[in-house]
Amino acid sequence: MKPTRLVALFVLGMAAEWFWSTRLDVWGLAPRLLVLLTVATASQAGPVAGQTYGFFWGLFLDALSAHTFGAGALALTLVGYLVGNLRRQMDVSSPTSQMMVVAVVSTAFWLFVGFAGLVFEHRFLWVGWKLFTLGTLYNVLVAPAAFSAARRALATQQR
Amino acid sequence: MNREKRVANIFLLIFGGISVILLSLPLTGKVRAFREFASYVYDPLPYYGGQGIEKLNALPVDVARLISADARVRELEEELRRHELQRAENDALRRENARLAGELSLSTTAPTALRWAHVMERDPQGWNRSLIVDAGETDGVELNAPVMASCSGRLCVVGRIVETAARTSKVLLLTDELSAVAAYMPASQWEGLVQGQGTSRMRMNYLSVEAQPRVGEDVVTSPTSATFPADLPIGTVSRVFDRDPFLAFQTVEVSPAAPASRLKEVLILRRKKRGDS
Repeated sequence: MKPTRLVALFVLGMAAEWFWSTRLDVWGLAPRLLVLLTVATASQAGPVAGQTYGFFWGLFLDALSAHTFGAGALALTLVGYLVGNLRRQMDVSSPTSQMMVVAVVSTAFWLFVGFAGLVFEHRFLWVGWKLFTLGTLYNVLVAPAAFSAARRALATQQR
Repeated sequence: MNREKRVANIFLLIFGGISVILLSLPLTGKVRAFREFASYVYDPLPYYGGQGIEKLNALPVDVARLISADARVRELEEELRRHELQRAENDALRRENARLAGELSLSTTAPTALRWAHVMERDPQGWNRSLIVDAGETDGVELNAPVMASCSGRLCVVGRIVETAARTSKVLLLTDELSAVAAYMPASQWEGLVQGQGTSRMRMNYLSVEAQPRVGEDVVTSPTSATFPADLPIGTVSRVFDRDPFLAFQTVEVSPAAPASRLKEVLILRRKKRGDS
């Protein structure tokens, strides 16, 4: 096990998320890289690693938000848990299957955050149709790269 | 396999429990302390990353600036000499104003200083709600400080500071649902309340039914606003909603003067302290 690679995955994931959303956004859109990396990590390393990365990446997203502190952490924890437990029933070896999984998870993520706002702040935090549709498409297009990055970081762990 | 599942369930309980506690508890001391701790741990990444990228972006620009800087400095020195007299007159008027206000027992507006800050972090999920800037408590930024931006050569309202850390602050944009600012239309002098909707547009509510707002009419901050200086542009009327005959007020849609997508730098007002220039 190479702890440095695991830490690097964690830090570089947040750095990539920040850089892409701040500097490379297109028409206000950027992929939710931390969601993709949580799915990729959980599908390759299991639910424990997926939840751990997901929870702390989710806190990073929550620290940037003015609403529902904790919703991102809860959402990504659940993503890590579910994807990690279902990874043996899913085929995520091909880019197509990776993109399909990410499409489903992204849609569920936007809706979950909205419902978290409904439950805890009494108003549905709707991300907007642009992010809900085009943002999900953007996530899907970037998914294979995220899976590849996570596979490289976790490769020594699986040997 | 069973062991992994057991551990996963335990982790789910722990992480899920912490998240639900953070979501459901109000902002008491402990929750606020945890939020500040999370910001303290996570903020250095975008803060130093932003500074690094700004420095890299500025390299070619800096080279060109060095060449023209000397000539510009000489021009400014000359201009400054011309304005010395005007500044002395302004200082005298300010002192006289303060003296007369004291004798008449009138309260005076505390002098304010300005602090420019770069937009350090934008979250696409909250594009019209909040942003993070690279100025914090060590720079004198205070909670509820007004935040403005330059729009076509004028200062216009962007939002206010809602969270501060040592080097960073979170700005709640006017377009956020939690934002509200007292405003009026200079052309007609009708007052109302501009409230964010979580989208790129705002609504001005509580306008008198006698007001006849027109699309394109300016909306500025009201002197009754507790947070913002008066007469700062907020936006323009983009739509006039049909009047509801059962309501005692009418509503218009306001397009912000400083769209969130174009914000790169903001100006934060802070109260001048002794020793500030």
